[in-house]
Amino acid sequence: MQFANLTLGWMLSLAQSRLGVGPLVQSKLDATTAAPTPHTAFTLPPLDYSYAALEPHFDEETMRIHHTKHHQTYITNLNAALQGTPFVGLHIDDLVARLSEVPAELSGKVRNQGGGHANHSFFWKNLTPNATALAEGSPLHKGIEQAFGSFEVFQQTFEKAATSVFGSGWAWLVVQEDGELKVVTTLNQFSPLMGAGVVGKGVAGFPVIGLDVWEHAYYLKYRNVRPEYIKAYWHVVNWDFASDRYMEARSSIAHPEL
Amino acid sequence: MSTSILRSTTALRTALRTAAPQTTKAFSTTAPTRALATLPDLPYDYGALEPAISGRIMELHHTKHHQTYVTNYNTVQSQITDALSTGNTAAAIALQPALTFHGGGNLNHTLFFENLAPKKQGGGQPPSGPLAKSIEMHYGSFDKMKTQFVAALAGIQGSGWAWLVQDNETGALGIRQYANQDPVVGKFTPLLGIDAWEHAYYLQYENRKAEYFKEIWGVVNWKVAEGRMK
Repeated sequence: MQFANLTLGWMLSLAQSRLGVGPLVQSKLDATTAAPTPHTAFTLPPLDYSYAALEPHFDEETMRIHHTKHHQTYITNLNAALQGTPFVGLHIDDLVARLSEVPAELSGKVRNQGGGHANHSFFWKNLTPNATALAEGSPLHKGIEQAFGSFEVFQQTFEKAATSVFGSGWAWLVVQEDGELKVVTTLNQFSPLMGAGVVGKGVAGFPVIGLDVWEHAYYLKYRNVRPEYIKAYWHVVNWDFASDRYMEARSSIAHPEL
Repeated sequence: MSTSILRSTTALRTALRTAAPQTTKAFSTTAPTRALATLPDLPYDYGALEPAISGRIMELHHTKHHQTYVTNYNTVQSQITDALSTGNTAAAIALQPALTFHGGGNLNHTLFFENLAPKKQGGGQPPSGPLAKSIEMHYGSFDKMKTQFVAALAGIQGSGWAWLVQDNETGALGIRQYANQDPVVGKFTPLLGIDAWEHAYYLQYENRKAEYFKEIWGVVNWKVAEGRMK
């Protein structure tokens, strides 16, 4: 127990000096690593809704396979890779922000499988069967208008980005280190949370919304017509969760000492 | 059946050849020409590769995915040709990723559908001639080569392909992974490719890609692969 705490404390100070994740993500990390749970393997987080709840936009079969097979496989592989290492017990968002600390022989696996776990965990919370439009006066709506000119232009930008991923990947709306909102994409299971050292300064940030554009996310219902799937996504975006994320990011930047 | 393969392959090679811009000077008076790519026919029915690959997948894969690569490749060709003929180097270079993706997608799928065959057209029959000898020389046995090939397929992160290739200089065989639609060009000649994108198997195998990587061998056309050797 003592050794595990020492190791985690060492890792934390290393992260602060080396990683350069920025005050935004760093303060989140500090908060979540305050009380680590040692030696707890990652588990599949349950959805807040049934597999059929997002119909007709996201079909039940895809939701079920996506959650119980694809996401589970990332977790199973990640746990296997991390067995016996001091990284067991970290929050997944901490782990993906600390990829540079993972030994070289594990880093590829941890990046792919850990990224997969982080991205999908975020994705399920990002979706809701009770989607309501983002309130026009809300901070996030104002932030989007400021960054893109209008909400419609933001949506077009996001759709274009999601369509243009040449292969497997994700489209994101992130808050960057300077507090600005930006639409970015990542390939495979890279996450903006991985920081500038891994995904580049232009992509690094704190996700507010994200869309999986791997074929497994839409193929059963939408076949090759990814643009239709992207349009359907707007019907299930959890803007309450997105707004919370935005406020979290903004307050971290405003008060990095917290 | 075989003449349509020849015709489409010749057409493809012609298309690739004439699409190469003639740029002897920065602003060439001979505008680069372009030849529109067309979707090559399959040398077998959509359902003919069952049970390894379902007819539903083959039809979608051919009429939707491959067709889209053909269509978009033609669009990118137009855009690059326009950029080059107006001396807009930056614009032409900015189109490289799109050219690689759509052009590569067209190349890859053309070769892929050619290197599959129904059992009654020789699909799954192991090679017997020079390719067999080369496989034995480089891998010890056909099964050892297959094991490495399957490992390469299973190890692909995200979308991509695995290819049995031949080194153009040494003639040596190799198994290589290619991400997204990156084609086998340059140093290596593609002999046999397997599509590991999810669309290649998802409707039938869902996330059970190991099963697909096992079953596909029953419909691989090793004769075509051998014909690609230099």
